[in-house]
Amino acid sequence: MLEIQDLKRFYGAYPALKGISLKIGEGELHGFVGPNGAGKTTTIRILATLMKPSSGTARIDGVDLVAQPRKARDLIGYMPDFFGVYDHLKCWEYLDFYARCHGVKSQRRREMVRQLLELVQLEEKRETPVNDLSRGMKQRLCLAHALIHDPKLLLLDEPASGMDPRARAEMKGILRSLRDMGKTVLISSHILPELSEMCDSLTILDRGEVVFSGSVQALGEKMNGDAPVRILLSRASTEQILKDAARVLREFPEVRDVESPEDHVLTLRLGGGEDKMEEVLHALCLSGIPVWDFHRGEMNLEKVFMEVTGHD
Amino acid sequence: MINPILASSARRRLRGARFHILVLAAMALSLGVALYAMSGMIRNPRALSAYTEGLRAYAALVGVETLLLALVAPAMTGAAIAGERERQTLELLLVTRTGAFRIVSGKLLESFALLLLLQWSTLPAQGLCVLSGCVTLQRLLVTQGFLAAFALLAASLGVFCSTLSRHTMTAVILSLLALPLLLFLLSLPAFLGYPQRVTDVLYDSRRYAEMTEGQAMAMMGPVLLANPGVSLFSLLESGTGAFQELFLWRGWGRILATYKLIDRVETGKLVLLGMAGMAVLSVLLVALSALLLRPVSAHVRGRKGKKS
Repeated sequence: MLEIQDLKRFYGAYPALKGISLKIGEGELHGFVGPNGAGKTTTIRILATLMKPSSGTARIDGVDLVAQPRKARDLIGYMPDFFGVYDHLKCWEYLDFYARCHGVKSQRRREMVRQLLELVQLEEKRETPVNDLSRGMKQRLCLAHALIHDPKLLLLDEPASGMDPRARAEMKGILRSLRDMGKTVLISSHILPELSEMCDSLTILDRGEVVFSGSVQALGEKMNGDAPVRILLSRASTEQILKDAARVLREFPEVRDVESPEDHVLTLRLGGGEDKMEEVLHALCLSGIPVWDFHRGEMNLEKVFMEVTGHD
Repeated sequence: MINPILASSARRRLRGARFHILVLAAMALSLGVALYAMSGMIRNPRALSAYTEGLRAYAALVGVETLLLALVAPAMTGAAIAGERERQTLELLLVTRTGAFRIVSGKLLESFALLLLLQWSTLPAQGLCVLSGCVTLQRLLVTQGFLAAFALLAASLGVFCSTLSRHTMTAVILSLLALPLLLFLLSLPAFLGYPQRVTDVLYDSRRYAEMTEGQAMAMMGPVLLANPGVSLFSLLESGTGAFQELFLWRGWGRILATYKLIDRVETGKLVLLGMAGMAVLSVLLVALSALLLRPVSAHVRGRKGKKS
C-alpha cells in the first residue's frame, strides 16, 4: 500500500529526513513514533503531498506522490496535528464542504456525511455549529473529514494530542473500527505506549532516521533481551562477597555494566538468551555467592523508547 | 458543480451581520451623497446650472463608490488565503482534489460577487441622477461596467496580497497600499516618458484643435489607455469639467497635457480599454496567486522549517 524509499528532506542545510525507507501493507495500522523533531510531521506532510522531498520516492498503491499528486490525493485522507474549523458552518455542512472539494457526487455525499457522523459519534451534533464543539469532538470531526472521499490510506498526525483520557479512548475505538473496515492507517505520536496499544506495527524515528521498524511484539522482544538483570544477595553478605560476585560476573564476556546501586544488590547487562542467564546463576552459586533472587527486569515502553532513541 | 470554495465562503460571510451592515451603510452613504450634491438642483430645478449640478452629483457618487470599493475590497479579501492560514484550514483544502487555482478563483469570485452586491446597493442613488435627466442610461451602464472591473481588480490584488501574507491584517494593509501603488505605476508615463511631446501639442492650439481621437490615443500609449485611473478620470470629468480648473490653477503642465489628451478620447472607449486592462491584470494576479499556493512546491508558506 505505502512504499517509501530513501526519502530525504532538507530545510536549508538542516537534514530533517536522512533517507528513510518504509513499507506498510494494506489494512495495517502503523504507528510512527519519535521525539519532537524526529521527522514525523515532515514525512507525513510529504506523504500528504503538501511538501516535496529533496530526494527519494514515495508511492501509494503504485502512485508516485511527487509525479502524480492529484491522483495521490484521491487515495489519501489527511488529519494534521493542528487544524482549525470554519465558523458559521454546521457539522454536516463542514463535511459536505470537504466532500464537494473532493468531487464526491451529490447522492453519495449525503450518505457519506450521515455514515461518518455516525462513525465518529457526532450524529446528534449534525446541526450544531462546528465552533461550538469541544476539542475532542472537533478532532473526531476532522477525522471524519479525512474519510469523506473514502481514501485507502489515512495519515493522522498526532490525532489524540490535547485530548482528555475519555476522548483518547473514544479516538482509539474509532481507529480500531477503521482498521476493521480495512483502511490502512499511518498514525504519528511521540507517545509510544499510546500507539503500541492499537498499532500492528511501528516505526521509530529519531533525528530523521529510522531506528526501528517492525511489529510491536518484535520491538518488545528486542528490547527485553537487553533489559538489565537484577541480583539480590543475602542480607548477611559482606563487602567482600559483593566484590567476589562482581569478579565472577566479569569473567563472562557477555556481562557488562555491573553496578551495585544499593546494599546487597547488583545490576548488570547480560547479552544472550535464557541459557546464558542459567550459566551465570550457576557460576555464582558454585562460587558460594548467597543469591536470593536473580531475574531480568521488564522494559516498559517508555524505557524502550528512550533506549531506542538513545536520549531523553 | 459550483466551486465549493465560492459557495462555502459566501455562505459563511452572509451568515454574519457584518456584510449586511456594510451594504446598508453603502446604500445610506450613496443616497446621502446624491441628495447633498443635488440639493441645489432640488431647490431650484429650472436654473441653468441644474444639469451640471446633477452631473457633478453623479460624478461625486462614482468617486465615493470607487473609494468605497478600494477600501472594502482589501478588507474583504485579506482573509481569503491568509485567514485560512491563520485558521489552520489551508492544508486541509490543499490536500483535496480542489487545485490551487480553484481555491484562489473561488475566493476571488466570492469577494467579487459580494463587491458587486455592494456596488449595486448604490444603484438607487445613481438612479436618482438618471431620473432627474442629468445622466443617460448608457452612461450609467458604462460606469457600472467600470466599477465592476475595478472591483475585480481590487479583489484580485487583495487575494494576491493574502496569498503572500501569513496574517489577515498584513494582507489588508498590503493590499491597501498595493492598489494606489499599482495605479501610480500605471500612471508613470504621464509624469515621465512623453511630457515634452505632449506639452508641445498643448501649447500649439492649432495642432491641438486638429488632433483626432486616434492621434490622442496613440500619443497616450497602451499603458495609460489601459490605466483604470484614466478611465475613472474620464468618467468623473466628462461633462462636469471638475478637474480642469484645478489643473490650470495649480499649473501642473504635464498632467494638464494628459488631461487634454484624455479629453479628446470618448469616455466609453477609455472605460472599455480600462476594463480590458483591469481584466488582464486580474487574470495575471490570480494566476500568480495560484502558482504561489501550489501545494507540492518547495514549501507551503507559513510552515517552512516547522517542527516535526
